[in-house]
Amino acid sequence: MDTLLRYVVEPLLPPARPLNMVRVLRITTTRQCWMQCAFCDFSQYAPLVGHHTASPAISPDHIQQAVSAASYDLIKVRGGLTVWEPWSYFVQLVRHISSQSRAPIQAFSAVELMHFHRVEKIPLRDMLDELRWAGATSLGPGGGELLVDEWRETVAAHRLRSAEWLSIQQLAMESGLQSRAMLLVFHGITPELIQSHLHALQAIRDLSVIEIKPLRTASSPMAYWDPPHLLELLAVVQAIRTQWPHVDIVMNRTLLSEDALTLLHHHGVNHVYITAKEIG
Amino acid sequence: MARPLSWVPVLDVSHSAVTPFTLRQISVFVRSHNGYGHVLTRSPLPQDFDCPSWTYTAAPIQGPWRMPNASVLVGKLEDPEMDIMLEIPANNPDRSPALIDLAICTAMPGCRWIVYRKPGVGAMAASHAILRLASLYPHASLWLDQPSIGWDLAAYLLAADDRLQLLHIPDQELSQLVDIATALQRPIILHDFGPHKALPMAALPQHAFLPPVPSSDMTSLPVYPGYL
Repeated sequence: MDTLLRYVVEPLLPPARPLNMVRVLRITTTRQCWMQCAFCDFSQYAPLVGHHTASPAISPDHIQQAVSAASYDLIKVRGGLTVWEPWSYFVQLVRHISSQSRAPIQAFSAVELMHFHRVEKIPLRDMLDELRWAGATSLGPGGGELLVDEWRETVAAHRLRSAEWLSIQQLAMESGLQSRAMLLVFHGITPELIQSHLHALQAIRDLSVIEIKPLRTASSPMAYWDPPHLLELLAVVQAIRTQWPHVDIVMNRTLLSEDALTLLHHHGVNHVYITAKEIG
Repeated sequence: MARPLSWVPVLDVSHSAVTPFTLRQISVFVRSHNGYGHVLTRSPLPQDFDCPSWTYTAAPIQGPWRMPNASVLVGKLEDPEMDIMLEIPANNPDRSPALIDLAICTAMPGCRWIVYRKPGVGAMAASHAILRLASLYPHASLWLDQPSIGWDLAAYLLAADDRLQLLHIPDQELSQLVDIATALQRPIILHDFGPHKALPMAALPQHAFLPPVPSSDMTSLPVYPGYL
């Protein structure tokens, strides 16, 4: 029992910062992925050779319709990993999105970059520069779920290692892309894991955003594993606020009740993503 | 040792009169909870009927009430300016209107306050009202109505004040109580408002680092069989 994360009660004082609702257009390039990370919704493997069943990547027409339908505060481009479309296709995709919308674009993550770096042998810095010039403003936090290699080898053996993820984030910042970190929280997460992760994140200079991602495993191999309890989420927010009083803490609005959102806001969460539209 | 969290199984049959079918329902409910259970009823149960604990919600306003294991609803506080509503049952009270005085109620035997959150009241306002009530009346037995308070706010309130307890928890949502007890490292006891001794529940689950993942899934690259 002593290894469980403990929430220390805080009185509900008026929050220091207002709660910023961020309307997000979420563009998913593909829902198939060969990496098969146990916690990921995209861990459904579909064969990509022969008579493959993978759906084609998102088309420019889809994007044009979605972007013109409403205004967004953030456009997130993400996906699983296939070897069907080349890297240049995705750079063109980001360029197409940026030509259609003035919203900031969070394009891909270190996981996708490492994948294309391995498949197409393109230097990472070149890929980051291409993304930057195509119109991306930040690199997604994907791959930085929990920067503890022992844990990563258990549930995501093919995912990049912690040091690789941190290096790519540092390179992204040098290329002019904003760096975003994340923290995957699951039921029973220990204080040691949280502290190891937060310690690893100190390697990123000028870290400005940490996204807290509660484990949602509805369609992943870990579907039997519970999502975190609210008190665990509050304890995680407290741990982050202790180390980074000024960093932006972001959560997704999905599956959070109004009460949970109020409590999280009073403990330090100050941005909430609301999925305004999802394509792909 | 941390103060235990209470699990009081509650059966509400106050929507209908007491019939042989209702009595059968009550006895099945109590048997299925190891002999524990609290029943809300609109009319008195028969003297010879064995029910561990029950509240009579529509007792006459005047006159003393004397029945074993039974409490009566003394009153309700529904001030429109309050963010919460109070329901006050007590054992053997003299049901005079003076008993609505909260200070008097705390001194009554078996008296408990059941706190309801009014619809549309935000988490901030409700938690302030409840925690203020708890601080103003430190000797009152405060019970939170789980369906109106909600699990998320209830978790915060139970963490904020360990004298608070939850009531009216649906059986199918007991895992939520276990989750809160695990997070707060508090044991759970099964009891009711009768003379039975509380029954400690089995040890709470200890969560492992992560569940074991079949190694064959995670250490081999997926390869399309037709490609081999």
